[in-house]
Amino acid sequence: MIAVELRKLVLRPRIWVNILLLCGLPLIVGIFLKTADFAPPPGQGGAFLSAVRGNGLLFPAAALALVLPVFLPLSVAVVAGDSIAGESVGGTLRYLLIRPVGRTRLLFAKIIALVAFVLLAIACVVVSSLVVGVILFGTGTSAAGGAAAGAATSLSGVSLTQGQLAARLLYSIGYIVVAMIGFGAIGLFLSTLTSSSLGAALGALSILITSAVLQTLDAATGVRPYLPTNYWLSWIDFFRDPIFWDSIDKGLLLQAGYVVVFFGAAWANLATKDITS
Amino acid sequence: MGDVTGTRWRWAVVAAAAAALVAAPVVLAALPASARMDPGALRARILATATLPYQGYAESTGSLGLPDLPNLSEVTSLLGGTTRLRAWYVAPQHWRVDEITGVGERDTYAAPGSQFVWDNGQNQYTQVVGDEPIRLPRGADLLPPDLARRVLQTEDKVAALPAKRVAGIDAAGLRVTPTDPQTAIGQIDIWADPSNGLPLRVELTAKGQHAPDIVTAFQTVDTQRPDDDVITPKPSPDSGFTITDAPDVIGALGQFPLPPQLAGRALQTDRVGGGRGLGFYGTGLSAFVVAPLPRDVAGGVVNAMGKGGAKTVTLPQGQGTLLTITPLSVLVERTGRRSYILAGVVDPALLTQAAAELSQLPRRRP
Repeated sequence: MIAVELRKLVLRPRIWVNILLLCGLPLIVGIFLKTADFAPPPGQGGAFLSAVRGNGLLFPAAALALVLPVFLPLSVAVVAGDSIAGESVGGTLRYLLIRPVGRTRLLFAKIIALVAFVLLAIACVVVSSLVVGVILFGTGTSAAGGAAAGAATSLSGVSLTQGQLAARLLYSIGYIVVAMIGFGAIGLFLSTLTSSSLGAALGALSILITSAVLQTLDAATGVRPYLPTNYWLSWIDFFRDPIFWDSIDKGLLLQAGYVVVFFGAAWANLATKDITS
Repeated sequence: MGDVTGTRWRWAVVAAAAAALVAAPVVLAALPASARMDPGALRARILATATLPYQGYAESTGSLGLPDLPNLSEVTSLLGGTTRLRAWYVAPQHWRVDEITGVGERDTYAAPGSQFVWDNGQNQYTQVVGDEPIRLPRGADLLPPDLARRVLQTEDKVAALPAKRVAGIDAAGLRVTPTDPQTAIGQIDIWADPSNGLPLRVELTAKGQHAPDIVTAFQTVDTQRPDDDVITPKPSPDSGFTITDAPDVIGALGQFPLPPQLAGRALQTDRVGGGRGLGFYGTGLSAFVVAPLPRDVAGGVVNAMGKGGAKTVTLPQGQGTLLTITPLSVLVERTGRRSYILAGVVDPALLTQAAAELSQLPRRRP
């Protein structure tokens, strides 16, 4: 069942178009950064954007900061929204469940496929932006001042070796994957509610936008720690020295909560739903 | 499978899990606090914490809607927004405080005889050599231990407050009511760990207000001594580095000597390098600062204050622009070639009186 879902995932052209678009944004930004003669003023624009001109190895971090707020959740919403509702639209859900496949198992396979998509998408963004970054901006070895090859400066002004940089990038990827799974859980639940993939994806996106709006509203301070997007950008804290775990820990706990509640709700709904299409 | 009972128990499980998850942080925050300590003894214990090491993360929220004053945006954001602070403290001359934002940070390292400031936005380390006798407020000033000790040094009228749980610690509280009638501060509430005296939360409330204007509190804190490695600046070779002498800051600001007394308050000569340039008048919560303003900057400041709702006050010589955002008052005094800015958490009348006296100073430098 899981193998079937995974095969379906990688064989679908639309998944790859989705990932290609995700990789396209950092590429476009990278080209503009390269052709313009000036870096964005430090501290403004996307995170790490001013630093990548000196060291292309930081470009994956900048790319993650670029795709995280909108593009990545958009892709996740589309895939998650399609997972159950898509079968329903295609009329295949009924047939799928006629096979000796429990509904809980089907849902579990869909979850695994969603996680696989998130991993695949982020891996593609990181690898493509690493290649783009190194080609366009080099690895910082030519930096003046005799810096160690490929060293980058952390947000706290301390040099990071290539090994440290790679480790922190991996931590960040792990964190973003967890954040996207938390958001994907909402999409998956909505997908069990409706038979329209588009409706489920748009529902998830409207939750994303609502959360992003409330996050900036002072009057909503009380609910802020519960907003799904609240700690999304906390992966940047991996690039501080020492690493600032406070928001990262809270973010991981929050996403775990979303996963439990919304996968639970998807399970409760799908297991008891009348499947008519 | 689709029967009603099947639906119900599944949804009940999910609803229970959701309720438990939402309630968990609320319950943790509402754990009862019962710490009690004699306020006088607590005050003494707090004042003895200057050498108590700690490390932690604090958030300070100010609700003063200050206009964005030219060259002072860092100060206005401290008082009118949320400042996130990571702190590692060993001794008064040996600490590190990071002011962190979503995409960057500004770190201050203190070492005996000098300070290092790392600005991630500017990609620049600055070493300030020598002690700064006077400087603008910075994030580190808002850390609960720093703020509480500064308040309690000059104020001894304290009363007990109910305990509060701060950063998971059952903290004992005390309320400071300023003795000087001309301060605009109504009360300052401080909660500290009764076992070691470390201040954990400070709330500053203006006179006549119910809600505090500034709240600063630790979210997490630990009295373990920070590693030397963490509080030692390690400039990256890729970043800029500059060195500046602290006394220059004052020298550049003005050559006019300040009078020894303004509005009945004495100039604190020990804090201003001989009373030239900037000056602090009075003590404690009724102290105010006087600084000369270059003429070009003064115009910009007055314009920004005007947008913030400032009013014009007539002085014996020249003119003043007064902006009051409770509890803070700022007054710019302009006479002929000279301009001064006066600011403090004091009664606006006190600043007006001081400005009136300033405007009557002889115009020529001695």
